[in-house]
Amino acid sequence: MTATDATTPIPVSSAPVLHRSRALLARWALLLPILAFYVIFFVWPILTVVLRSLSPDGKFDAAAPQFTIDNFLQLFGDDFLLLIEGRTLLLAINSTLITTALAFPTAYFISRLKRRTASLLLLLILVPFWVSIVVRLFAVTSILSPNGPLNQASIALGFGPLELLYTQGGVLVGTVMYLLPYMILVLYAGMVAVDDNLILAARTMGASPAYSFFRVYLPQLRGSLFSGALLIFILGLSFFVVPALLGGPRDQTIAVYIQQQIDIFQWGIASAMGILLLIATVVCYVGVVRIAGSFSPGGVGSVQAKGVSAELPFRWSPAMVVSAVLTVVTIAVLVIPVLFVFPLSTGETGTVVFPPRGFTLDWFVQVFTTPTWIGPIMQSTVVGLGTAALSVAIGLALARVTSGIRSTAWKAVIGGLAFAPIIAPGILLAIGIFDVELQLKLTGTVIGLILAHTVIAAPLSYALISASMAGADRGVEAAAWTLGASRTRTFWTVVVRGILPSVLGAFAIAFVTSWDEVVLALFLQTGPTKTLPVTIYKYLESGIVPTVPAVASLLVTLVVVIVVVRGVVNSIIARRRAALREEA
Amino acid sequence: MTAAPTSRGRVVASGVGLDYDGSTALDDASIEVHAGEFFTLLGPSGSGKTTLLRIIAGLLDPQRGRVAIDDVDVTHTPTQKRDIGFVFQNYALFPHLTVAENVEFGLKIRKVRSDARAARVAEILELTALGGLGDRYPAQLSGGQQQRVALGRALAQRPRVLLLDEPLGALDRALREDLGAEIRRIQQEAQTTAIYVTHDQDEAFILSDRMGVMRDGRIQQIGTPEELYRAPNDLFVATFLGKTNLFPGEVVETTSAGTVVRIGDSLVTARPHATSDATSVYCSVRPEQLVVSDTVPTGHHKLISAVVTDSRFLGQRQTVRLAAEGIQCSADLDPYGPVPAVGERITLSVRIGESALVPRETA
Ligand SMILES: Nc1ncnc2c1ncn2[C@@H]1O[C@H](COP(=O)(O)OP(=O)(O)O)[C@@H](O)[C@H]1O
Ligand SMILES: [Mg+2]
Repeated sequence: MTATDATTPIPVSSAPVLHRSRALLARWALLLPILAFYVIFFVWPILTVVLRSLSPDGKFDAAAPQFTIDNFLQLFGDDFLLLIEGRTLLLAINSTLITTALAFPTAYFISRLKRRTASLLLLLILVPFWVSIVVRLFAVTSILSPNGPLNQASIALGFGPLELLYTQGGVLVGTVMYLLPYMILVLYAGMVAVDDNLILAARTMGASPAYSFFRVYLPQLRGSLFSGALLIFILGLSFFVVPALLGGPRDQTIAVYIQQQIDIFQWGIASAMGILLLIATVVCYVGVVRIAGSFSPGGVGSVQAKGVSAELPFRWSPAMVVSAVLTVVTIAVLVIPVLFVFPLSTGETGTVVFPPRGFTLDWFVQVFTTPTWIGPIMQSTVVGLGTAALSVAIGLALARVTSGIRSTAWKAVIGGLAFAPIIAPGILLAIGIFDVELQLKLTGTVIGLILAHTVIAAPLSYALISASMAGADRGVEAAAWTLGASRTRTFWTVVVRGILPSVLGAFAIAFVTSWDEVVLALFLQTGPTKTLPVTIYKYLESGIVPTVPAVASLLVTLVVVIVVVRGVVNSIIARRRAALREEA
Repeated sequence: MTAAPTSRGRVVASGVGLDYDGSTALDDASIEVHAGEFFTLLGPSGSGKTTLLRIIAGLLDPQRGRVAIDDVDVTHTPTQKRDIGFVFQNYALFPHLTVAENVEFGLKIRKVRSDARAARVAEILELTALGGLGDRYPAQLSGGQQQRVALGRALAQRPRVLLLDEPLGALDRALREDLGAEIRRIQQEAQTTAIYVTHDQDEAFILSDRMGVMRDGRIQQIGTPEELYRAPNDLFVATFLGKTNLFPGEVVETTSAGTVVRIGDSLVTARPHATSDATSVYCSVRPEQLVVSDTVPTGHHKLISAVVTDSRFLGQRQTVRLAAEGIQCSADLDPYGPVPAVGERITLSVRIGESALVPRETA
């Protein structure tokens, strides 16, 4: 505006300008705190590990920086370290192969079933998926232990005692058990997305079932297969809990070794290993994006069973029989450990044995009456709620900002950055955030743990919220404005209200992420009160007390109740929608 | 139709039926499609067209009835061995294969030698006007191009019968007319029998040699488009194909000139009534058949008198709405001839022996 204009007030023309700059301001006001959080709790932790990995003895001195690549040279020069690295790689490869070999037929079998049966089998996979890994590992250690049922059976059958626990085989079984649900869900989502007409088309052109399977069906699953395999390979490579609990002293993996080194404040090699994991992860990621076109492990978290079509009904064939058998194996591997905690929790003896002797519910009473467990339960709840609230806030704000962005390039950048914390190796994040929080004096505090958990939970919340915000009709918002509602009011009563289910979903997924999280919590909780999974983890390290199976049973029951209630509610909603549609 | 110099591809379905969880999707339908013929199944959505077509293809197994191709019973022959081509409504092109590879798919299965294969692919791309697009992937094509690939892919291995399930359904109007004509041209050149499913009667009229009208899982009537339009057997076919005016009447007698029906106090000679046992009928008169005048012209019979309520110029025709003793009807007049004014009282008549009679109660 020129000076002459100032004498003639034109209120109408100034309004849009004001609006636009206010909107821009609002956008930055939302974005800046998130950016600050992201830099402090994600970028800085990785940067500090990078700097330590390049400093002599892992001690970075900002005043007089000295750089060396000795740590990295040692990674590839030291025989002992090479052995660990080789073992880790082998474990990741083997567990990826075995998991895929089990998950593919399982997902295929389920995808060929009627909707009702398929939903049921998916529940059997989802329940273990949502049960904390330490709870399942507790069951696995009991099953594999020298007086566990497997060993007893082996002795009874005359094969003699088996060496199962604290071996590489045990680690492999545990890792596969952990990775299976991820791969099944990714593959299942890919399989139900394949257009049945493609198979029918191949058939009309004379293709045999085998031909159309390999030449038509399998190529459609390329993306899901590569994405899923990458996902589980990355998880397997830097996985900490299973090798730490199921592996023997001579079965260290990179992640376990890193933790041991940090325990004795040897940051140099540990940091270099963390960075090595990061590089391997990034290389895999880029590789898969190149091969498969994109990284899209769809389906994790929200799968809907889809029944078979009338044209491709379920038929028994030799391949189907094999798939069925492998499905039974898969479900046994997933479900038996989850069920096994129940008989263990009711034994009368002061040590946990199988089969249980006597029957008592005293251990459950003790869980709720002794500070040993009430403390952790409170701690986990508070941290979980805090993480969920913060994650939803970040998810809403970020989704709001990104939904306003038109440029697809910027969207991709923001999306990629937002998801980076999930793809980054967990153990690397753990030591990086540990280091940063030590400097910020946040270790051992509840807020410190909430902030750390939010780093990995917020991306999931954001994914859910932004997906449903993108699907929502922006016209509705404009309509509310034309009716005179203010921007803020419109945002809460129209936009948020419209996507409320996914906001609740975002809250739930962030809560569960925090509730089950072990590695970050293990590093950051220096005080006496620990979260529930870490408390169980500590007992698994030092020795089980009879209240552990009771807590484990309670946690499993909680998940079963939630999953079943969710399933029932979903099916009621679906039926109501169908009924409404019929009426219309 | 130019007589196809081939006798391959005669399709006979006799009494085929299929139920889904107790509700009937297809109710014992019978059709007979001649070799080289372009046959259309026309009907509203949900009338069982797709079900019948998929049973002929062997993609669905019928619970009742038999299917024969070239006088060989194929009811229990798997799809792979039926020697057919199928065009899906969503095309179902293989997304991981190029256009040429899609077309080549069936030839490879039949182990056609590679030089013969290449020649056939080139021929098909030529036939479907896709030359130069052979290396593209389906995602890089427009809807119309994808449709032609689907057609070419179905024809490459020279099937006896080409089955098409609403192949133009996903396209916009203008493209549909062009491609419809092209489908017929390609079918004629490929000398194959075609069974075509659509809910669009314009498409059916343009393409078909003969067609069957379907409703609620049943075939209502089979015939050439002209027969069905001029002489519908029942109320559904009369109202489903084009527009019509219905005048309730009672059958009086059947003469050599046609069936005489009483409408109000006039006697009208209509086409011979097929199902003559019904006496309560509707006399179906198309808007373009209805003559609006002061006196009844020669060769016509008076139907009823009426008052003009509305008159609109629509370019190719002048549509006049009329109220005739409680019946709303409309007539299409020549916009260049005399047009009655609104409010004018006139007489409606129809050419002797041209109107159609359909039973009043719907089956
Ligand atoms: N897979 C199925 N399950 C249950 N009912 C179906 C199924 N497929 C089709 N139907 C029913 O069968 C009838 C005929 O369907 P269809 O042959 O697809 O009709 P059209 O192709 O003429 O639209 C419809 O009433 C439809 O609802
Ligand atoms: Mg259909």
